[in-house]
Amino acid sequence: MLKRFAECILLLVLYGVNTLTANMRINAAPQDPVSLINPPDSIKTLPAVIVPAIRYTSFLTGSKLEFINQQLLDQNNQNSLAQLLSDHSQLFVKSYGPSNLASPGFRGSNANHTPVLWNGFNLQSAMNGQVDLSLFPAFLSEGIAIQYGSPAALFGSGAMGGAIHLQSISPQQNGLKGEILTGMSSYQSYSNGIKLFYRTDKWQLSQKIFTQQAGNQFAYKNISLLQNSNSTDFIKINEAPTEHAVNAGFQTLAWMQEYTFNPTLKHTFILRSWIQKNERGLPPALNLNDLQAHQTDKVIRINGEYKYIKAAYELNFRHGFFDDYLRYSDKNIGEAISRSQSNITYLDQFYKFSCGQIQVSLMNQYNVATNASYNGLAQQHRFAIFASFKIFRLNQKFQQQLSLRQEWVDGNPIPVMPSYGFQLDLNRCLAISGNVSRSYRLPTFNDLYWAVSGNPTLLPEAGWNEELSIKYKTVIAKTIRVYTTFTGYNKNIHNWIIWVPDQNGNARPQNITQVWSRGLEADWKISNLAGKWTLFASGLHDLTIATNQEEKSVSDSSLYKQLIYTPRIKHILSAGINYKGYTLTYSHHYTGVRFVSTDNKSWLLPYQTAKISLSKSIQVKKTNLLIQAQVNNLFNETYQAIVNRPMPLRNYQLSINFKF
Amino acid sequence: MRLLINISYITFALFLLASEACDKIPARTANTPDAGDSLSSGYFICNEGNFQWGNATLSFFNIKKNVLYEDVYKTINKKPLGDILQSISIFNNTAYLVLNNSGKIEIMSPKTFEGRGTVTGFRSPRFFLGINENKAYVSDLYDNHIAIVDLQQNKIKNKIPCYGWTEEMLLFGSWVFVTNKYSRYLYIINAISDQLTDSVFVGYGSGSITRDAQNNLWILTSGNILLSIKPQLHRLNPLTLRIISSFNFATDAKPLKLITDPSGTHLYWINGQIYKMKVDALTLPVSPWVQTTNRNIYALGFDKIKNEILAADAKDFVQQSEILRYDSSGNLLGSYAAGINATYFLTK
Repeated sequence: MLKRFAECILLLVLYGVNTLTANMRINAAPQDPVSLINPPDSIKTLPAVIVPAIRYTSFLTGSKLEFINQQLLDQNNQNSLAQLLSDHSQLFVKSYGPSNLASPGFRGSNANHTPVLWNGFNLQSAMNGQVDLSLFPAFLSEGIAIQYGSPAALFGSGAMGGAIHLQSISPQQNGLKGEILTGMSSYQSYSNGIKLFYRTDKWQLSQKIFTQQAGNQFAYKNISLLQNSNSTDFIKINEAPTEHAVNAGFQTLAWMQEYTFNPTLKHTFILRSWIQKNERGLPPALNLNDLQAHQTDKVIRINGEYKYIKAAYELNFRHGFFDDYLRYSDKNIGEAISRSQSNITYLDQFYKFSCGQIQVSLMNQYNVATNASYNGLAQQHRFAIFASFKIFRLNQKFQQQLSLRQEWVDGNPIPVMPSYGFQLDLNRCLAISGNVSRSYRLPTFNDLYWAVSGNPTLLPEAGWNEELSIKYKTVIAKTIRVYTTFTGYNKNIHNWIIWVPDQNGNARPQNITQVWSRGLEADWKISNLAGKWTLFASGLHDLTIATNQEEKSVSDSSLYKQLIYTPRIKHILSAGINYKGYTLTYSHHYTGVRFVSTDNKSWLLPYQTAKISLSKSIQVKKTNLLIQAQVNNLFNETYQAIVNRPMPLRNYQLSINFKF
Repeated sequence: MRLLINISYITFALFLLASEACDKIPARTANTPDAGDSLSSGYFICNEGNFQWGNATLSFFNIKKNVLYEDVYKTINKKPLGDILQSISIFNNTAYLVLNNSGKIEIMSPKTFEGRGTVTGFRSPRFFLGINENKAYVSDLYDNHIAIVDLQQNKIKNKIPCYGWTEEMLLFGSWVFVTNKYSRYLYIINAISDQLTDSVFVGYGSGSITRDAQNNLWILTSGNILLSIKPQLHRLNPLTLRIISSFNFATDAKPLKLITDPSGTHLYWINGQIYKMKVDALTLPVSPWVQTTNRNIYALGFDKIKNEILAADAKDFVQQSEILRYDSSGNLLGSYAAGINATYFLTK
């Protein structure tokens, strides 16, 4: 009911905007979409918004990009990427609960198809191909961009649904800058963080430390929300007992550093490191025995970069070393330890000319992993050459780009990955962009080498993505800024790898599924500066149809059915008001039915959550104090993203953030 | 331009409406068992569900009416069964439902399906074996013990140490033969003293045990592909504890779920396909009894009333199982859908 009401409001708003637009002369220059996300007042009171410098940013023509701005990062500085992206993007985050495993899904893709890229390096595990978004503190990034569609030609294996880009951005002014965060949340959660930036003409240094610990005994209703086509029982949430999570505590300690040295304007040296340790209990699913499951994750990520820029030519040499350690233990199986290391080297060259740009890159990657379930050491060598050519026409209003990638895995070539994208600015307000790309995902070490189950004959998953976007942005009556994007996409993936159990209950990976995903996305943002008041609203709307297109066995009932844990619709509506540094924001989140059986005869009901936050920004000279209180799950919704993995009822957050 | 903008917003409005239309919740229907239904005219199907999803169900097929009732436990008792329904046993006119990952046994009337209590405190229970009116044994995946359940109080009263993954058990006289999937031995427990008293070397990974018409026991082992140990089928004299005959499978074979037919003259098992063998055969059958290519046969059982062989196709293990009915010649008589991952049949 509430959802329908919100949609009606939205339609009315859009109708009003449409009417206004039709009668007004467009008299303002097009705004950068990122600046439109922030209300003007917040631009006054908060540090300037900087577009994160995504790797190969000039060569993503035609791909839809969504930026998480500084205001949202500040609002979520206690949270992980899991909560941030779940609340503020079109991703569906499959969360097992607060601080528990959370994996992203884009446009009907699964977690294996969505890399997290840190300064251009893919952080997907070589062992299982996944990233756990709950292990990424939002505080450590100054810029996050979500790229939809497949950037496989540039970023390689695994980027089939989209990519999440994390960037570190230092202040542009010389001197000492910093940020101190302290926060607390319901269920004995405490967060503290500090960032220090120091910049001279030749040096830029940054240090970031973030710690968080929580008992995390969050409250939930003990009730199964699973629905079946053969049962007409209605869920009686009010009659369910309220319980508190057990064995859900966690601790995080993260330390990130960056050193940049510019001896001359032509040369730049950068060294970055990210060391993090997470300890967490893994609570049991509803009504199961607590096995005292515990997981320790330790990561060491180091990368160095050298840039040479001379006129229109740029050379970029970078090397990254990544070490992931994971220890799992529980009362039944004892302990299991796995460790993987990657060394990745890139050599990028860029050249700009009057009507275009060229990029040519080489990549060399060596992965190695150990696990008690592998027969020895698992190793893999990848080498790739990829290049992009971009040309401008019509006074740069028409951009086209062609990219190609050839990769070899242990000396064996995989098919060439082409990509074509375009953007056409029809006028200052309206643009059309599109992209056609091929994508692939290599089998992971677990797929290939898991004892008995591993299948060394697996083929890479492969697919094609197409998308088309219409972007419209304008300023009405000098104060109302409007930004809208409509996107349609189509995606086919062949040889999709899934682990199918055999009669002994041992799962074995097979290339047996073909998936067809198609959908529509709509984003809009409106802000209105009226004197000292700023009103702003935004919406993200997503329709995803992702179906299995191949019979896996005789009379397979999953044929042409929606993939499990892939909601067909998702809506996020936000609205807020800003006055003299006070900002009140309300956001409403609706996630549609998620099927949990491949024949679509079992499902989880839709859920909607709301959150409200109130913040006060106090600016004194060059310092800023932001005090923020937030209520999550305002209406106490009982919901589960994963079957029998309860999410917390209403909970609270308070944070103080001091920037100097 | 204005037209284009209007089209865009109309498209957006239609998109919202379409998304609403596309997210319809599927229709639901339920068939509640009649009060007069009784086990004498049907069989139970244990649908184990998916690990940690709490979606285990118990189906009941009414043979007289030719109707399947799904999720009968939840329908009657208004609560879900739990996680991974491994097996069901009827003893002393009481049904015991072993919920493996819930670590419990639900007790139920086999006639009315009404719950009669719960036995808790197991670690990872697998099979229930009634010994006498006072006690039963329960095997376990992780506990390294056989639990002794007091059937008067429905509580675990003691445990018998037995290292490894204990699986199917068989009562012969006062001896309980216990298979063990992590051991090379078949263990023997004195059901009077509750002591582990003896063992028989059967090769690695025994999981199925059954009895034939000549009162010999048949034991099926899984072998171990990493250790190059072949799966085996043994015929054991339970009185002398001597193995009468042994049959070797290929090292990479995965035979499982050995059962005998009601007459005790034929054996059936799954090894990708369904195999059948006379109990006095001298060699393993070369060809399957029924070809089930492109299926995932996960359970075998008998409809003892109609004398049909039942096989469960779990398909991709994340959708409803298909129950296949065969006559004694292996002709497919029909099929119907049951719950997710049907793993065990029980006919009275």
